[in-house]
Order: sequence, then C-alpha cells, then structure tokens
Amino acid sequence: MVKLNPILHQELRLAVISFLVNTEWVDFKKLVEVTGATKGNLSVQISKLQKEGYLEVKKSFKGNYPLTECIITEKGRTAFDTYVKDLKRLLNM
Amino acid sequence: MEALKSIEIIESMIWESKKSLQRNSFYFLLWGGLLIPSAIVEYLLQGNPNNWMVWPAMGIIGGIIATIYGRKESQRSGVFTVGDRITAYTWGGFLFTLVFAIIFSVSQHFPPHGLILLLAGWATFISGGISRFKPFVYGAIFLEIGAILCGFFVAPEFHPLVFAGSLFLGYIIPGILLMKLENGKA
Repeated sequence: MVKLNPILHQELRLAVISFLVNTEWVDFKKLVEVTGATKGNLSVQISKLQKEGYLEVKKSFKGNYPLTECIITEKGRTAFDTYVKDLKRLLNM
Repeated sequence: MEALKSIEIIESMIWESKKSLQRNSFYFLLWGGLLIPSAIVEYLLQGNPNNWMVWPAMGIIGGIIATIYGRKESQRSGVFTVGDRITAYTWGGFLFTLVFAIIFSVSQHFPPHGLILLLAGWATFISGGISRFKPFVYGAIFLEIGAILCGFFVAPEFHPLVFAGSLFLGYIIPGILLMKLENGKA
C-alpha cells in the first residue's frame, strides 16, 4: 500500500508547494491570491512546511512595502517529486 | 483528500505559476518606441557629424525608464519564476554584448545596425520561446532578416531604415499583441 506524505497530502499545503516548485520566490500576497486561502490559514500551513524544511521564508522591505518571500528548498522539491511519484503509483498512472 | 483531487491541485497550481511570467510587453514597446525614431533621426541627419548622439541619449532615457518599471513590476507580480531569471540573464547578456558589438563595429567604421539586429533577434527568439508567445519568435526572424539585409544587401546609408523597419516588425507588433494578451489576463 502506497502511503502519501501527510505533510503534502493536504489541499492548501499541496497547492503552495505545487506553485513554488516552478518559481524562485513568491510573495506571500501572491500565494493568498492564487490559492484563494485566508491569510491566517495560509500562514499556519506555510509554518508547517517551513518547520518540515520544505520552504524558507525571508522577510524584508521593498521600498516602503513589507515583502515576505517564500522559497522552496531542495528538500521541498525532493518531497514534491516523491509525492507525485507515489500518487502516480497509487493511481496506476 | 482523494488522490485525484491532489492531481487537480498540482496541475492547476503549476499552470498558475507558468502564467505568472512578468509583463514583458512594456520593454519591447519602450525600446521599439525609442529606437525607431532614433534610427529615423539618424537617417534624416546624415551628413551631420553629431547625428550619432541620438543613440546614447535614447539609451540613457530608455535605461532609466526600464529600470524604474522593472522594480515596480517585480513588486506588482509578487513572483519570480525560473523563466523570469532566464529572461533577465538573456537580456543582461544581450546588453553586455551589445556594448562591445557597437564599439567593435564603430572602430571598424561600419554601421552597427546589423549587429544590433542580430543580437536583438537572438534575445527576442529566446524570450518568445520562454513565454511561449509565437509572435516574438516570428518577430525575431524579422530582426534576423534585417541583420542579413544590413550585412550583405543594403548600402550602409540605408541601414537605419532597415533597422527601424525590422524593429517595427520584431518589437512593436509582437509587443502590442502581447500587451493585449497581458491586459486580457489582468
């Protein structure tokens, strides 16, 4: 029986990692926009991914505006690849 | 969560990130809009020893506007993709090579228009490929044709006109089409 990674097997966390995998960095506001999640819920899920070492969060200022950059780590990419492979095996794809 | 739902999420998010390339039409319209009049001015003022001065003047104006816009656009889009990095390095490399190509060409007493078109065509071709926007790929072909005309078939005094025409087909028309697409997405 294939067991999917429980950290990634959650709608919002999977959406975040799937978006980040093609990018170098993404602003937190952009993630709110593309996922349609609330800021609070997104913060919680990002913290879980960060705790797991799947992404890094960098806070800075760009001009007068705060910028929260989310960056996927190598560990995050590997976990995503493994998740996709497991998913394919589960679905016999 | 069901496995099929996971597939759906992954596909839709990857699609979202791919269409998040920064808005590039502005740069093509900016440079086309500045360089075409420069080429025409250079052509009309042939015989005037200072006619070349229009180029550095337009280059400085364009450079300042492009830098300001780039900073704002990066802030607006809120995302930097692998495609954005490739685009940035391609045009950075283009700019670096362009400076030496112009110096080389002028030192050899040959108009630089053909070399500029050759380099611009190469960079535009890559941009078209990364953004999957075919009009830039076709535009790049027009730029390369312009370069070939300047290099082999057209007398040097008409190079500015070939340059202007090539930029119109290679930058302005695809730039307008891309701007319409970008505005439609927004």
